Order: sequence, then C-alpha cells, then structure tokens
Amino acid sequence: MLSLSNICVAYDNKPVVNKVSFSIESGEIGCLLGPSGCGKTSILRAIAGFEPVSEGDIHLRGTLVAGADIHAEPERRKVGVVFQDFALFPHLNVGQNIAFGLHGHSALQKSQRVIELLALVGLPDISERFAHSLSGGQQQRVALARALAPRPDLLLLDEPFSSLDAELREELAQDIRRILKHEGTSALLVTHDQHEAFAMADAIGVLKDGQLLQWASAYQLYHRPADKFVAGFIGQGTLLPGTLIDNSMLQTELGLFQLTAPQVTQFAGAKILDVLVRPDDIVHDDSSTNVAMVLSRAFKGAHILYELALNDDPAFRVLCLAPSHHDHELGERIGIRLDLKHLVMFNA
Amino acid sequence: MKKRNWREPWLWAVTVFSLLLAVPVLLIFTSVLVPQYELWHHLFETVLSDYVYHSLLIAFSVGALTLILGTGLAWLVARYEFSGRRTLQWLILLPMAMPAYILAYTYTGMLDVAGPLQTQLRDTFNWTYHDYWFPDVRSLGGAIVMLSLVLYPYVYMLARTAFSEQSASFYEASRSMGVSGFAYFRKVAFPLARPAILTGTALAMMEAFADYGTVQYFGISTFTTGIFRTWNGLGNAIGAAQLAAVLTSFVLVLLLIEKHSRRRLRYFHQGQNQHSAKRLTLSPVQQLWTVLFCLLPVALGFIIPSVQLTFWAIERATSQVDEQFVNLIWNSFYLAASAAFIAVGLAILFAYAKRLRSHWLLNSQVQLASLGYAIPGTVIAIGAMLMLSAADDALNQLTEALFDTSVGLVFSGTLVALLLAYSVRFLAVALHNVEAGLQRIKPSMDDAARAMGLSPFAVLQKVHIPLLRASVLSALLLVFVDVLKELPATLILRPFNFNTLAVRTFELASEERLQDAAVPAVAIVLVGLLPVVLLTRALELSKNEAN
Repeated sequence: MLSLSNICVAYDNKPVVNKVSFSIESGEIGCLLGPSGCGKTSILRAIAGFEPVSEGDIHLRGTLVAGADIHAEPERRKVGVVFQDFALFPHLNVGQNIAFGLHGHSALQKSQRVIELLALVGLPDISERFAHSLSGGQQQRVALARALAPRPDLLLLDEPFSSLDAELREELAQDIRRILKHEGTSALLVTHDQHEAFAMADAIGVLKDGQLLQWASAYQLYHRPADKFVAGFIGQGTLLPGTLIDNSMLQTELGLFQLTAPQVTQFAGAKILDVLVRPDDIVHDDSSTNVAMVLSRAFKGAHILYELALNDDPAFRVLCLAPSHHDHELGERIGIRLDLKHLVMFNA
Repeated sequence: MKKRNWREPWLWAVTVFSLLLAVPVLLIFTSVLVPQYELWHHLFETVLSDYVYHSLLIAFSVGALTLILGTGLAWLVARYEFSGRRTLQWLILLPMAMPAYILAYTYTGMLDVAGPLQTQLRDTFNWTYHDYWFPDVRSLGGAIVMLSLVLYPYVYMLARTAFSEQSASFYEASRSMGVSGFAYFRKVAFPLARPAILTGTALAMMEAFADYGTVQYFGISTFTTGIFRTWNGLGNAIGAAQLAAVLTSFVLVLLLIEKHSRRRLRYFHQGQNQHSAKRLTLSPVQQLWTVLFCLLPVALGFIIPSVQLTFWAIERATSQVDEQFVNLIWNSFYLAASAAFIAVGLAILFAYAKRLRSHWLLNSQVQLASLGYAIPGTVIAIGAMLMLSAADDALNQLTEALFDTSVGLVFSGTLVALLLAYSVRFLAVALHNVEAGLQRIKPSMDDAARAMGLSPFAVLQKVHIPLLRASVLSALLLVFVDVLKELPATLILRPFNFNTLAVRTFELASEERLQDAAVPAVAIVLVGLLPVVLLTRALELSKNEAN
C-alpha cells in the first residue's frame, strides 16, 4: 500500500528526516512515534504531498508519487488526512464538511455517504450543526468521517488526539481503530504518546533526530528494543551493567546469565554490557533471600513502583512493580526474585 | 452595597455624555413626527426619485467595485510571493489619505476639455472638440470611480488580515480532498473571509452614502446634496432632518450587516491558531502582471493625483500661501486637536466605565453613542443644529426672563456645534483604539500590582498609563486626521467667516479655481498620510504577534 525507501526531507537545506524506510500493508495501521522535533510529522507531510522529499522514493499503491525529481500534487494522491487541529471548515456545517471531498457524486449519493459516515463515527444527528458548537471529541470524529468520505485506501493522522482531554484519548483511539478496521483502510498515525500508539497501531516506528530506529510491533518494541533509546523511550526500565566472561556468560549484580549463540557473535570482544531490566522482570517476594534496598517509591493505585538498589549500591538500580498492599518504607530491604524471560543487552 | 455606590458616578457620567452624543441622531428621527406635506409633495414631484436612485446606485456600485478590488488585491498580497510585495502591501493603502472630493477636483482638472490630457490629444492628432469621444469625469460613473478608488482600502485591509490568518491546514485539508487553485478560493478562502469582506464593504458603502464633496462638485443630486439644498436653499430645517432620517435608515441597514458580519467573524476565527499557509511563488511573467495590477489602483488613487496636485500647488504657492493660509492651517489645527482631545477623553471615560462596571445599560449606552461613525456627517450636522438651536432658544428665553437681555447663539453659532458633531461622528474611532489598548491590560495585572502593594493611583500611573499611551496617541492622531478631512458637517456648522483647509479646498474648487485649491488639498493629503503609516505599522505588528 505504502512504501518509503530511504527518504530524506529538508527545510531550507536543513535535513529533518534522514534515510527513513518502512512500508505499510493493505489494511494495516502503522504509527510513527517519537519525541517532538524528531521528524515524524515531516514524514507524514511528505507522504501526503505537502512537502517534497529531497532523496529517496515514496510509492503509493505501487505507484511512485515522490522522488528526487517527482512530486505528485496532494490532490492527486487520494490520501485522507486528519489534521492536528482537525481543520474543519467553520463556514460549512458538519454534513457539508464531510461531503467536501466528494466530487462527481449526486446530491443523493453525497447525503447517503454523510449519513453512513456519521453513523459509523457514532454521531448520527449532527449533520446540520457547525464545528464551533461541537466538543473536541465530536470534532475529532467529524474530521475522521470527512477524511474517510472519499474512501481513501490510506489515511494519515497527525497527532489526532493532542488537543483532547486525557480521558477521551484512549477511548477515541480504540474507536478509530475499530472504524478503520471496519472500513479496511490502511492508516499511518503520528504521535509522541506511546499509549496512543499501543492502542491503535499494528506496527510502530520509533524515530529520533530524523532517523527511524526500529519498526516493529508494540510487543517487540517493549521486549526486544533495538537500541538504548528505544528501550528508554518505550516503557520503563533500568540498565544494569555486567561483565562478560569467556564471551558467553554475563556477570551482573542479579547473577550470572548465559548468552544465546547470536548474542555471543554480536557482542564478541566486548567487556562490559548493559542489561535491560523491566519492572516486570523483578518480582517482589517477601520470602526471597535476595534483598534490595528501597530508594524511592511511587504509589500507582493497584501497584507501587519501587526503585531498588542492589547490594545497597545506588549505582545498581532496578525497578519493581509490587502489589499495592506490600507497603515498604524508604531504606527498607525487601525480598525480590528474578523473572527474566529473555536477555536484552546493549554495548555499554 | 458600599462597593456599588462608589462606582455609580461612572454610570451617571456615561449616561449624561452618551445621551448628549445620541440626541442629534435621535432628533433626526423625531423630526418625522412633524409632517411637511408641502415639501414632500414638492420633492416627490421633482428630485426625490433622483436622490434615491443616485444614492443607492452610487453606494451599491462603490460596494461592488471596492469588494472586487479590495478582495482581489488582498488575495494576491496574502497568497502569493512576488518581488515588491512587501512594498506594495502598504502602497495599496495610500489612497486612504486622499479624500474623495480632492480626487474629484484633481481628475476634473486633469481630464476636462481644457485640461492637459485632452489638450495634448488634440494637439497631437489635430482634433477639434467634437472629433473624438472622451469619458466625462463629472458624471455618475466618475463619482463611483472616484469614491471606489479611495474606499477600496477598507475592504483590502480587512480581507488581507482574514486571508493571511487562514490556517495552512485548511489549504492542506482541501488539497488532500482534491480541491485546489481557484476552487479553493471559491469554496474555502472566500467564504471564510466573507464576514471580513462584508464588513469592509459595508464601511465603504457607508462612506459612499455619506459623501457630499464629490457628488456636489459633479452636480449629482443625492440625499446629501438634497439635505443641503433643503437646509440652505429652502431653509426648511425639519424637511432636511426628514430627508436625513431616510438616508440614515439606508445606512442602518448597512450597520446591521456590519454588526452581524463581525459576530460571525468571531465564530470563523475559532480553530485558526495554526501557522498560516506559505505563499505560492509566481513565475516572472505572472509576477509582472501581479505587480502591475496592484500598482494600478495606487497610481490612479494616489500617485497620479498627488503628483498633479503637487505641481499645481508649487505653481500657485506664492499667490496662495499668505497670512490667510497660515490662519487656515491654525484654524484647522486647533479645531482638529480640540476635537481629538474631546473624543479621546470621552472614549477613555466610556472604556473605563465599561471595564469597571459592566452593566447592560451602560454597555448599550456606549454602543448607542458610538454608532456615529455610520451616520453621514450631513445628518449629524443637521441633528446637532436642531439640538443646539433649541438649547440656544431655551437659554435666551431664560436670560431674557431673568436679566431682560439675550445672549445670542451661544451653542449653535460657535465652535461648540462643530465639536459636538465631530465627537458624535468620530467617537467610535477613538473608542475602538482605546478599548484595544485597555484589553491588553488584563484585570489580573491590576490585582497583581495591588498585591505587590501599589495604591490604585500608583497602578494607574505605573501600569495603565504606560500600557495605554500608544493606543491613546494613535486614537488622537486618527480623530485629528478625520476631523481635518471632514467636509459636510464643517460646511454646515462652521461659525460665520470661519474657514478650515477642507472648506477652503471645497470653496476654491467650486469656484473652478482648481489649481489654487491644490494648495490646501496638498496639506490635507500630507496630514492624511499619517494614519496610513500608523495602520501599516499596526498591520505589521499584528502579523509579527501572530507568527
């Protein structure tokens, strides 16, 4: 459906996107995730045709739409776009907004499509109303309906939840996912919020400084991050230093770990490696003889997130998510058990 | 209860002054209660249809022309990048400095049968008078063109702001839905800017209805010339007021359109906080055409006439600049300055009253008092005259009863009448500026300053005055220039033998001494340039704030 190969985007000769490649299959929902200024919106704008690419190719439905010398105008690309500020036309009512992109349809066809889409987004009775009288969540749904009206096979969403209340976001994200899957539309979402990405996307790309660090499922990103930035950006965790023995064993404060064969090859010659330890790798167990000292604690309702020092040394820290009734004081030593399913390591 | 009491003086002061300003216009409408069958029969038989037809035709043609010209120019400047754009975007405002009546005299002098252009044509081609057709400036069409040339900046300014504030995401959203180019202008950009464009067009049409100098000089009978004729020629004050009432009702329709458009403007503004769209670059040939198109109204409305005026003025400077002329300048200056101080003083009073004591009665009084900008100067003058002669009558009866002597025309025959009329007409200009300045002083600033131990007086001194200074100064300047250019009210209300630059220009032109008229006219145009500079700076500032 959509494929980018080695695209670069530059503003005034200042590169903001550097050799990014990924592709989205038909019906798949992708997401570009990264901190602000990482270039994710520029990629979206290049796909929509609002910005030219300086290098690389973009293919839409197998057709080359952007390259070094090629730039198909946005109105030729037949891509739906949902804007960060929704961009609903204030002089048109909801129905007219939704029908805006329907060219060459009869009035009857247009009104049927409007009714159909409003039902799909769960707002059946607002066709006559104007954008300024709608709530943020309603505007968001109308913007989605408008983008979907001409039946684009690819929908681009630019930070679609950023102007909404936190409580609304997750609910809407799931609703939009359901609607996209129902319509069979492929989509690419841009966000800085990993929870939105997790709620909506099949595949997520993590970007930093214009580079795509990893393109994978949410599960993969969390459990198999490709580099330290991804490991730190997605979820919580700490890096625990360890010494490599005989190129195959890693000695850490949590014990001795065996490297897999590919890891042996990957880290051949290294001396110190960092192990990624997620809070769910450390299980709190009062009966365990392994103890760690509580450095800080954060009450999370059902759980308490403890930051623990191994061997009483604050240089070796791990996080532990304990059930809420296990209430321990700062400085207290509590029993922990290791539940590490797979070893994720990086060069120190 | 105590807290309310000390604020009551505001309500009282506003009530007294707003009524004072509203009475002239209200008197106009009460005049219809005194039937003038004979006059109306006469008018109906003779000139009434001309008044209606000409006034409406002029107003609507000027509306249409300014709408097209102002919107077109604004779209080009806001949407496209071409060389010279930055200079052109303020050059386009220059014709505002030119009062329509001065433009009319200048073009008449230039294009008349005996004028330089036709003489040149005849000499070149050996024609005589009847050999060729040449458009007559002194015609209905000529008046429409003259007025449109100086009034299109109203539409241009508002439309340009509206276009350049339109969020880029509207353009991008449209393109992603297959709408671009002219279809985008037609379906999105124009409808979005429509409230602003209509507001500007309504203002231009109000000015066209109010025009006296141009139509009088061209010999076209309209409501304004009719009011003059009934007042001066027939000496029928009530009849003049009744004609004024009819004209005012036309204008009130425009006022409703304007107010309605401004309300819609607020809705349309929501969600437009994103960056505005990048300007599209034009090809060199397109750039040339664009620059020429933008220059045409500036050349016709300002450059050509002011060059001609300057030549005439230099030619006649020695004979015209004498003691009488210095006197003229002094009269105009102190009259305009006094009016500016009164109008801005009232504006400050009204603005603070609204801020300190928000009350529906007070707000509507201020609203009523500031409607004067829409009412033609002729109408206000008649209203002020009716009001002040009644006051003079009452005063003289009183002094005769008490002291057995009459004091004469204390109000209606003096500058008081002029100052009242100017205050009515230009309060809105002052109020608009003062309120804009006051809005920047948020109530929390007062609270913050008080919390840091400043007395209310110190707050005024250290917070309000420094922040308000710029807007009060620009209010003073704008009223000053408007008064200086004002013609019809000044003609009606000026004391005997009291002349201003505008009146002198009109008198000289009426005597067909067009070259002599150029001397005071140049002075008016030069002063008229000041607010254009101010506006240019304000437009630049608001753009920088938006970015």
